[in-house]
Amino acid sequence: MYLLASSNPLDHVYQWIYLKTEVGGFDFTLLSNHIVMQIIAAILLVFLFPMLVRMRQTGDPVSDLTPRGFGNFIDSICNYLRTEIAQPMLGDYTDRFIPYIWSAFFYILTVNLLGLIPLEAITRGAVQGVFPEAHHGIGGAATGNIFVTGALATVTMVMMVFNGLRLGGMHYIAHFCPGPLWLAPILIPVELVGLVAKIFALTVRLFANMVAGHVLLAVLASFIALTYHALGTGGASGVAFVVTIVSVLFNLLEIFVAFLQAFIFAFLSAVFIGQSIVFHHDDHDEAAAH
Amino acid sequence: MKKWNDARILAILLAGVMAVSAVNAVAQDHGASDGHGNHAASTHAGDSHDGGSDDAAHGDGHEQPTLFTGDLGNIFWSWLTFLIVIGVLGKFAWKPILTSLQQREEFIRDSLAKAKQDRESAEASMKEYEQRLQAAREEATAMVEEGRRDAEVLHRKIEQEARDEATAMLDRAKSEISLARDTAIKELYGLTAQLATEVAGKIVGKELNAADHERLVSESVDELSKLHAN
Repeated sequence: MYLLASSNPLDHVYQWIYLKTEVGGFDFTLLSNHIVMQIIAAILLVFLFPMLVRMRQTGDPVSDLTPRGFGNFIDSICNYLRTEIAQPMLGDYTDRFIPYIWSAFFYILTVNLLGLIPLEAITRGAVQGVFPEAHHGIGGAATGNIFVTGALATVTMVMMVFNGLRLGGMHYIAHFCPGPLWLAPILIPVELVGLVAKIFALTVRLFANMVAGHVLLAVLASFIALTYHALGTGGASGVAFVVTIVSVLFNLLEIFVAFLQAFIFAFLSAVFIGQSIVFHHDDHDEAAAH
Repeated sequence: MKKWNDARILAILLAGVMAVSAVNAVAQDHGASDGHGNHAASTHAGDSHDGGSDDAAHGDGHEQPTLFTGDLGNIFWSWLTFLIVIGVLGKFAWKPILTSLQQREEFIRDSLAKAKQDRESAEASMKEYEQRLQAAREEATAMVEEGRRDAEVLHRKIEQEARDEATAMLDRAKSEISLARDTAIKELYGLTAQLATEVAGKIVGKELNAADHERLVSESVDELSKLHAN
């Protein structure tokens, strides 16, 4: 009901800051609804996953390798990401980087799904008990915060650049100037912009998709309030009936989007890391010739 | 079918209840925000919120957040939680799962390789057995053929021998018979001649002397031989 009561359909996608300080002249949020959701997500992952992945059927050599119960969920996703996504992109380096791909997928997925749980209304009282100035409970998708998605995307960028330099060395630096040397003044800035653009694309894609779904749901809900003021209880009830059904369908869509966006982030991370560590055949031939 | 209909009716009823309670909530909010003065106005305005009216609406001096509200703190917390997740899961979740995936992959690869190998060896064995079977069959046929040939030869030999023996026996018997007949005829001639001589002597009334007797016997014998020859 919070969605209806809020005066602005965007209220529930905003970050509501509970505690803030300043570090070196910059604002530094210590606690907000998004940060709490991220901490909850991290706690869930850290405590549940090690337990869940150990769910195996036991008995004979085949059963020991077969997951059981919820372990199937994790196992099948991990296996899919590894064999269908990472192996074509990363080749021999798959098993070195797959833990990062898996972590990114499940972290974003968990944050996305937690954002779909309507916690705000039931936690507002508790939050206000601790931070009297706060007027918003926890809840909301932290991935609907561009600083969060940006921070996650920079981790992928660090993985790209660091591993590109470590595994490719001069090859990685050379790929910033793919043409003749006299074109370097143009090509190097373009390639650098390309690197930043990839990361920016990761950031904005996740942010925009998560915000859009929630805004859509809120706008749908706001129709009830609008018709209430315009038509009164009778008209509003009719609209509310339709809005409720459509909202349920959009919520289902949002669950799909939560998976999809987590997958896209993991997939693009694999693609980008693959591009920076697996070099073209010419490079290999050149290296072999030396 | 009936169960599905019930479920549908229940879902529609539930949606109806939710719709009514949603309208109720709007009504309550509307009533409550009247006290704040401009909250209702901003509800009417939909999404045309701005910072100024919000400050008044919330009445606590907080800035109205925007879609881009955030700062270094968010980056810090994102990195912290994400890196903890990467670190802890990397050690306690991804390592076991990666090991199990690799083991499973290896197990499947080995099983397939072994199955292929087994099939190839089975095919080779089968080929060998078929060859052996074929050889055995040929050998058996040859043996039977040889046996038959031997039997045939033996059969012929025995038959031949028996025939030869029978022929020999027959010849011997014939010659014995013929010898016995000749002897008997000869004796019969002798006896007949003697008898005839005696009868003739009696008729003639005189005794033939030895020389006449001998002559008459040989004449009779000759005549009889001629008769016999005719």
